[in-house]
Amino acid sequence: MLEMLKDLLPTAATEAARQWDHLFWFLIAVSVVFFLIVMVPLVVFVFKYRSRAGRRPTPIAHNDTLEILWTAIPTVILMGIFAWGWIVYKDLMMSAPSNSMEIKVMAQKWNWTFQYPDGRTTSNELFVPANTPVKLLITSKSSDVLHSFFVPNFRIKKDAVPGMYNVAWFNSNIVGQHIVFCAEYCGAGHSQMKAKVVVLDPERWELWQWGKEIKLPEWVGFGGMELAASSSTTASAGTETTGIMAQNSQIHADLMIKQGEKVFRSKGCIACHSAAGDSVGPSHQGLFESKVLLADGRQVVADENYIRESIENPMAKIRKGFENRVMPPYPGQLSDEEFDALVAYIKSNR
Amino acid sequence: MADKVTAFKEHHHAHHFRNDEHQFETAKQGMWVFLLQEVLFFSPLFVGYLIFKFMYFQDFHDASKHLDWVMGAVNTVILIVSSFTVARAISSAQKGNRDGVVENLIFTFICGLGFLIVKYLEYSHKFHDGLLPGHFFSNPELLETAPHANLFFTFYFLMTGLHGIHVVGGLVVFAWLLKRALNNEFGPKYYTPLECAGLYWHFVDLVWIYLFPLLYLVG
Amino acid sequence: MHHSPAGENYMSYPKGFSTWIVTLDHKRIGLMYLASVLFFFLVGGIFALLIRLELFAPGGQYMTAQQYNEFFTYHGTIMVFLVIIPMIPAALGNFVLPMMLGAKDVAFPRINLFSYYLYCAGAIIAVSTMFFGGVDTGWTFYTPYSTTTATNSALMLCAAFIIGFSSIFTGLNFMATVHRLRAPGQGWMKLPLFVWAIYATSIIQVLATPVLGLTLALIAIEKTFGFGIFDPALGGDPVLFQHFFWFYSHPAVYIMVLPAMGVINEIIPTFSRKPIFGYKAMAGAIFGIALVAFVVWGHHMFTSGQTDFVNMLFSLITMFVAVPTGIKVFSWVATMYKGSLHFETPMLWAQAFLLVFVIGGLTGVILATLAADIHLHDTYFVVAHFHYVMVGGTLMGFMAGLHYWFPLMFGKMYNEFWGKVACVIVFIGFNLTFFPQFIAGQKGMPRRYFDYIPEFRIYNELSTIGSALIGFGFVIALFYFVYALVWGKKIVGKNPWRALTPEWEADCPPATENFHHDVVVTHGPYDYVGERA
Repeated sequence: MLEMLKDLLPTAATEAARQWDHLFWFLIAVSVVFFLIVMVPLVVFVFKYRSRAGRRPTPIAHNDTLEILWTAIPTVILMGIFAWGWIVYKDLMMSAPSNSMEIKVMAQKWNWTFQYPDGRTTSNELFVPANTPVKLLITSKSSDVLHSFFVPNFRIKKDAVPGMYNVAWFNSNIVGQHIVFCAEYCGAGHSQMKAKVVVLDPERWELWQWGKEIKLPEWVGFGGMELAASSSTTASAGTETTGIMAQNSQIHADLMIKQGEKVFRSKGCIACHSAAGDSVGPSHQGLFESKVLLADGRQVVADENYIRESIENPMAKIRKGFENRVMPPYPGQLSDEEFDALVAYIKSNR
Repeated sequence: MADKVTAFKEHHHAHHFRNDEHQFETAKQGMWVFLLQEVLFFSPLFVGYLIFKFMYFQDFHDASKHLDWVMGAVNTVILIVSSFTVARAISSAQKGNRDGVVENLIFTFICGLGFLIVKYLEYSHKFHDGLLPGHFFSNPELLETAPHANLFFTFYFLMTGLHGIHVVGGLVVFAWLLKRALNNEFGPKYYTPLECAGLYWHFVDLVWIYLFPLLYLVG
Repeated sequence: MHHSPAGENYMSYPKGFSTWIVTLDHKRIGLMYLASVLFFFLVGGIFALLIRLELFAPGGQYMTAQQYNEFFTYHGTIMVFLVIIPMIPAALGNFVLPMMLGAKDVAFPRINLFSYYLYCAGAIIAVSTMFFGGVDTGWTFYTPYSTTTATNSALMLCAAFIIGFSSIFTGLNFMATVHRLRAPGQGWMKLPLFVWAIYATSIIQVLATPVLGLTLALIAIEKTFGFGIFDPALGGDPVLFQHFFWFYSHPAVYIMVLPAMGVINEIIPTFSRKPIFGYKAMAGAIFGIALVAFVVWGHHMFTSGQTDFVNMLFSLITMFVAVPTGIKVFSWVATMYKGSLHFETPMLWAQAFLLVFVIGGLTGVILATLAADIHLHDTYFVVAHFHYVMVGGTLMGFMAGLHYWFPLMFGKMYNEFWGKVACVIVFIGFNLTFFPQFIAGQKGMPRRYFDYIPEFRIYNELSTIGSALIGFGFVIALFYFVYALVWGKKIVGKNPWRALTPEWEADCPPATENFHHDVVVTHGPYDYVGERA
């Protein structure tokens, strides 16, 4: 019986997805109970009180106790449901650890491009090691339309919006191929805009990093992609990303930082900003992921979106103490690559 | 003039109302609901404007300096005066003063026309300077310093344009009312269309009273 | 307008086609709406069947992906704007609402006719887009897709804009009517609950529709001229559109379903021969739903990138929709308790409504749960959910109402046996169509998919078979309605259901001015007190 229920959801391939499943079956159980609470009396009444000769209806027009009960009890249950939904949501969408492997996901009609920390890219196939948190920075190509990155096995979904980085994350322990759908309507190729997340065991991950041929693991669920039924393997815990990807990531990151520093000089940022401390403009030393107090009293976290926005549109969120300084905005003057390099450089000044 | 006796046309209330007053009150309520609808019709523009103003504060500030606040102020005065005359038209009708109705309607109409002429002068100036919405925007000075000024002018033209369409609509209504007033249709017993048009015109006035500081002054 | 001469009624007097097209009579306008809505229901239904036909098997079968996208766009826009929204308020409401108040007409008969012609103009433009480039944006018109598509979305936006104003004017009219034209003795607590429902609906129509109107106009302008409000390349924000759109379109869901609840509120007490259970709670619940409707729009955007805190707030508020909805459902069941239940066709449809609406409501709670929605958003689970609410709720409520007031409207009775058969067939077909979609959705099948992986095949097959069954059920209904209109036997006397609401004091069909006397309300709408079966 329980096995049959399992078949009604995709395989849960992350811990958060398993939490999600518990929540979902709880919701279904509550729904079934309430359905019965309404339907059992209804069916009983239909038979018991159907009109026949001599039947005299009793004109009951209200019952305060009953009405208060069926207002209050559902309210309490609903609040519980809401709370649980929020708790699982935090695990599912908000808990990317800071040591996550960062992948940039770029959507455009009608394919997905993945950029790895070492700079290499793949198309429609995202290779990741098992048991490693992976943070996705999802966006859509500028001048393209909305898409949505949906991995049923991970229970995650996030829209790809032009000009905006949306974050999702996962940490899968199930080695195999996991299907990715586009879930936001994007035109004629919408239903063909599929990709896959290939979760690899340590051996294959090591080989893949070196660009070696590997035998892809089986599909996890979605047998339709390959008709053979799949048996998924669970990787042993504790995979480390010590391979060439990690080394190259360091090299790539260094390169990006160098390039970013170059942009920082050539575009004239250096005239007003310094890593040494605040000058004309605020310093970027220790800026990334710090809390920034704004002139209007709000506090924001300096993430990628904030840095990019502050370059494109400096007056949007002015740092406290710099209300009267004017920085010219830079939209259209920097390429996407230059932006990424600048952000990398600023991130490096922790 | 008020002592001149005018023979007003008889007016019959529609069959589903109890009496004239019942009909008048219902019409007025309908008008209020319509104006409520109008408030929400304008609301996305106001909300959108405020959101983008907050996002691109400096750009919007710089862009708004390119509006001519004197012309805006003149238009504000024109509309306030016309709101006053339309109220006078109604009270003239209540007193049975037909000529008063006609004169005030004509004056209101001229005010509306004047508003549109000032608006036309403003618009042509903006066209000349390339201060236009979206990708039509071509003002060299602002392009350099305020890259999102285009959005300001998008909202400027959409908001004042939508308001302008309402003014034009008002003029058409006033022309029609004038014709009916000349025909002796409005008197103390029946002036529902005047009353409703008056409410509408006050609303158009009020929208401008929000638009003027928001676009021209608060910059 | 004059009283119809003896023996004549609103349909036969005044005579002639030309008196219909300029009529100010709310009953005739209601019938014209009814005919138009049913016609577009047929058109939208054909598009639905085409979609289901294509989805019977994976891969392209009978059409291209582009054609498929245009078909589901037409299915959605026609069903939402031309059928479901006006179906109960404009068609049934126009006919019944003034009569429930004992009035001779709505407050503004000319505006009533004007909004009907706005509806027609919008409908003609909407249909004409099929010949001028098609539309493939889906009924939601999301930017930047709708502003960059090669199809003629701008024309469709104009159509929706115009239809929106038809809806606004109808709402305005009904609001003034309920306020000003109630019969002597008819205080607010003596109003039939259908009137309450239409009144709440009207408020939403007047307050929410203009926002949609302007937003759609902005998209049309953006598409045609490139003004940049929703275009990130010019500094605009595509997600802003979603906020504006759902600010209307979520309340619009209640524009669709509240009137159906109103109909059920009439039918269940009448056919239970019992007062409605908890009249005040029922009226309050209607207003509770209408109020909350305005502050839950963000639950359509949990994956859009709006902040987690905002997501949390919208999830929390959305939960509160379920409370008044629950009150209504419980009270309907309680109304049947110790009643004397009659199961003629209207009551049968009401029972069908209850069953599917409960499923629609409960799955709504699942979708309001923040985490659950992340996986289920934009899948067939959502498609199934809103069809349970809109088809199961609104359409079945409409069918219940149509069968209930059919004798009043036309003075004739349909065949009871075939009425029941059609109801059962549609009910079975409906569940066969949409229940499997829940499962396809929770297994991950996204909506608006032209092609799907074979894993989802079985659910789509069942769904397509079910849709054919729904179509078959409605064809039966079409036949017995037409038969009844042409050859049906006339009703003897009035008030065949022995209802207590004022509209039944009129003849079947009513005279031109509705009643032969001035209606004075002396009892509540559901004061069925201890009478025998």
